[in-house]
Amino acid sequence: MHCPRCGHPLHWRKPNSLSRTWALIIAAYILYIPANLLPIMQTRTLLGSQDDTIMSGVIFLWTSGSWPLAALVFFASIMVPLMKLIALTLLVISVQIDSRWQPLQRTRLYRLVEFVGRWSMLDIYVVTILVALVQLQALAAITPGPAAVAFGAVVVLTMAASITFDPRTIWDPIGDSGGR
Amino acid sequence: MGPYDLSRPLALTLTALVLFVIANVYPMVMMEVQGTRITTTLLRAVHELWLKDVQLVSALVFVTVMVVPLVQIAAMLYVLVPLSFDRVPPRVEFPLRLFQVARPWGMVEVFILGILVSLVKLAHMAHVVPGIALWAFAALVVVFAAIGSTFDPLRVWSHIGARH
Repeated sequence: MHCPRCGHPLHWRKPNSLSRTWALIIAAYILYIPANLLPIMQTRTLLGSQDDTIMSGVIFLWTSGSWPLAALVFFASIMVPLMKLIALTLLVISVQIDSRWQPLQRTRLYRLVEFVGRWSMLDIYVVTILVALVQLQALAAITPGPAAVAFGAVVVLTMAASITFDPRTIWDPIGDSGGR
Repeated sequence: MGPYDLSRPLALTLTALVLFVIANVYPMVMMEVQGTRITTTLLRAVHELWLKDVQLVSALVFVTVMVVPLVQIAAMLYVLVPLSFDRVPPRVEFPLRLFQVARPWGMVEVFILGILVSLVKLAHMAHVVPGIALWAFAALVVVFAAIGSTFDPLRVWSHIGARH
């Protein structure tokens, strides 16, 4: 079946939605661990060097008095990726077992995941700007840590997972929905 | 549905192009340390990351803040400019589909927040001033939101269908 206008192939449901989403979620779970445990950046000054994980960056913002920003970074970098992974896992399992439980709420959850996921890129951008600016030879220098790669991958993988998941499959077990 | 007025999305797209250039040419942040002034543009920041051996992260920033918005602007111009002269560009389905596929990966609004967080973090070690690019990026987000509500591929298709 093809679109009469642009000729693109059409599908009733996104092809291989479940297995693709599973693969992306599992990869994201694995990378979530180094993303949070390893340092995301290293600050070297005259006084010594300091490794910062995502969480210690949040704590730094909190103790230095900018607590609204600390809350924001905590939400975007720690809460959102974790909640997103849990929500996607819940959605995929519920579709897999043909659950009829709260389809409307699950669809809303999916929309939320789709909307909020992009904001986890925040920390990646902060590291980019800090690394570019703070290169003061002997005085101070910031270098990116290994967690930056893992964290970036988690954001991309979870975004891809929410794109491959087909919210229509939530409604499939509920009676006549047009066929699979 | 009335005739689709192309001039509004076209004007917004051209505005977005100008803002995009400004946002990429001018510095994002200015920092003063011991009398010397340090600035950085987006492209230089991406380049710096690349040299620091985190090419994946560098590519991710490059794609989400530069490539995707530029691709979206180019796709809209490719469709809108010939259509406003009453011509259908060849393979018009490709840019229209590209526009939709690229949309979730453009993250300029998150990037602005990233600049703001960096400013706060740097304020502890030096005197920092937001650069022109920050304002251009902010304006770009507003213009992109306006484009989102006026550039509708469905309406573009019915415009093409009605005339050709």
